[in-house]
Amino acid sequence: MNSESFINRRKVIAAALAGGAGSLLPSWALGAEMTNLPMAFGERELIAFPGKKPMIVLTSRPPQLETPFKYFDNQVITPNDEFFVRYHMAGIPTTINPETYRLKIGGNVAKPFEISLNDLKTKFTSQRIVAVNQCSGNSRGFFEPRVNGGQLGNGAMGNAVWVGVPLKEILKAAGPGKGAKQVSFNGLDEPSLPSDSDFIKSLDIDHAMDGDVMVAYEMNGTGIPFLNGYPIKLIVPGYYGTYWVKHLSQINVIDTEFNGFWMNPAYRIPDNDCNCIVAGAPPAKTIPINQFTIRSFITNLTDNSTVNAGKPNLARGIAFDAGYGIKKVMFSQDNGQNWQEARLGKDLGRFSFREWTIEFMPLKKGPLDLRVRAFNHAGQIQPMTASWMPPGYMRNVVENVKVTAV
Amino acid sequence: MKKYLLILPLILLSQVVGAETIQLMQDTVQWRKSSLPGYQLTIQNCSACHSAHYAEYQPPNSGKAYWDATVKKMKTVFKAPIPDEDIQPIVEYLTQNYGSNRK
Repeated sequence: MNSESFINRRKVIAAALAGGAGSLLPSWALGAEMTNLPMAFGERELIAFPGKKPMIVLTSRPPQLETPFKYFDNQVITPNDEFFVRYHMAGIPTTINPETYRLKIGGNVAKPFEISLNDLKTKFTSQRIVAVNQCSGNSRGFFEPRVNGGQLGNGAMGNAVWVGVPLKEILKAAGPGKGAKQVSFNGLDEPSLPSDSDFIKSLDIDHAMDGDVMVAYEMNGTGIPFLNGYPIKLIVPGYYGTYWVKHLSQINVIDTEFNGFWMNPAYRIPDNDCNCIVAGAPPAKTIPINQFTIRSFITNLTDNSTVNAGKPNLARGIAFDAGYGIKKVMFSQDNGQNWQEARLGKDLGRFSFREWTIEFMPLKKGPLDLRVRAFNHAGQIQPMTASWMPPGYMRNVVENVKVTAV
Repeated sequence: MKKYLLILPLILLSQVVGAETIQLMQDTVQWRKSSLPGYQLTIQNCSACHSAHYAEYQPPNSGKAYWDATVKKMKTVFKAPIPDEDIQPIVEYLTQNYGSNRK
């Protein structure tokens, strides 16, 4: 399912359009390079937004950009200009001055304060974590039956080296008061009309103080790209991207469970062991989405690939989980009937993509159904059949890639 | 006569005296043309906050119940100032042009 076919279907460059009157054409007539995600209504534009290579445009306003899957092959770190983008609010910042930028810490704390970027970088000890960020709805377009929401393929994820300040140290400097239950996080993006739907997220205080959650100011050795949350972003290793608040501007310690729209009813999952329900049935009870499910992908072969019969072929890819650590990756060339263990690549940390490679030899010519399945140190294993939930989050079924041996 | 949007000068990332600035792009997907009254109402009520992509890519099983709930969510949660009398024409337009009826 990893195959988007890159086709320069229309590289038409078009005559200028003066007003709105002529803008009645379908999107793919507008001159953008196109790609197809393997789903119904999977036609997408590929457009280079500020600071980005051509990316799959889920929405242009506000920007939501998916990483073309071929970018994941043979690089365990996702470059900044290939990293996916997901905004929620119509009102997104377009100018940010790092000299005057302030992060404010308040709420139930002994010493509320605000801090400049320079002070954040120089007055606290920094830490470095390699961590995957993944959209809750990554792969939503592959749910069957289909569910509404952003119709993403598998590219709303990325792995980066984050440098910043442990949130724990910032909170300690403010001194959370007695009764502190959660910490809420707001960024510069906001609704375009006054409403209580601002994008604000919260974490339990113990989670916020765990030492891994951090305020990052550096991504892959340079500043965080504007569309990924310049100049500072909350990093919540092992947790879905919804918590990774961009353009982080306000941290509040609160005595209650934060209950804003983006914590409830948005970004909720069924409160049961599988976080799933029978398609169509309403879930009785939900909880906020939290840790990643375990996943793995083949990155060097797609549904259109051919491989050599009777000769060794290389398959490679990535695996990741919520931070328990990938224990092994198994590979099958026959639809999961027989499995071989792949070699794991260098361990860049428990929150990182883990590379894997394997050599396999198709015995005869014809179609092959390749599968890859990850296991972690907590006993979690990718399921062979997909589960379902109404919002289309957390997909992690064993994917297949159909190739032909020639 | 067919005309095309020009998507050339959309992308700018510049440093303006210390500040980081981006210029966002104009919409690359337009609302699907229709003679239904909800077409113009959709442009008027929805385009202020988001591009037509949000409707364009919804899957083939998106029916009237989805569009109805979505338009009402835009009004109740995001406070889009949609007059009550516009809601049903907008829902009708979306139902007839997207999801299962998308051409």
